[in-house]
Amino acid sequence: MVYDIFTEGDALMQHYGSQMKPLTGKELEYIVDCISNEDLLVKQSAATAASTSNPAVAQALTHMIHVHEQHMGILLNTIQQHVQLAPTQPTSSQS
Amino acid sequence: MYSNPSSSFMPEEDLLYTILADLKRTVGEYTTATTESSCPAVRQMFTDLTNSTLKMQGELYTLMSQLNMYSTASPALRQEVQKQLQQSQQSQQKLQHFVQQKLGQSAHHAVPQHLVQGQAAQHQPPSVYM
Repeated sequence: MVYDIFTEGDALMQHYGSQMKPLTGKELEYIVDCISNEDLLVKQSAATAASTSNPAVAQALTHMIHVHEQHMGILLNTIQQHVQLAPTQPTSSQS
Repeated sequence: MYSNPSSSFMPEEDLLYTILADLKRTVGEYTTATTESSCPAVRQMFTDLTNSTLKMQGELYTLMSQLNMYSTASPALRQEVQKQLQQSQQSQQKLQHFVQQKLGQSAHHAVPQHLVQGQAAQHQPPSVYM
């Protein structure tokens, strides 16, 4: 498909694996906010797809639902991959 | 009953417009998140998600436009375009003088000359414009 970058998520993480740093509080908040956005977009797209009588609109929305679900998977995967890097005790920030 | 059970609670056009507006908002949030990322892997992820969401927004806009659900703004008049072009060219010239003053006549300009002097190319309309 067009969005083949997302099938390479693991390769991306391997590529940047050596450069991966613990998530900052801000990064974590952005990721969580973005998951919330994707969640809303899936629901909106699904509700609209269920009510439309236009096949072209239904097809476009079905595709969009698929992509948003992929986005959500990538965001969740990123949090998961940073769990082990996260400190268990508060640390002072580095400049 | 307030409405026919078979009808949606909003017209389809409004529902699609709401999705389009949320896609635009989400692109903005992904862009901000990209610029504020510290971890290279997280930055790359946000960059990819920005591009993917931007692509979807463009595709939905095109579909709505084809279905006459989205009226584009009327084109700017040539007189106004020419006026803005003239003002922008003057600003560009002032900027070049400013940079030359600061860096000296033998400055090593980082901006390629074809971009600075290629004003003729700027008169060409872009091949794709949405």
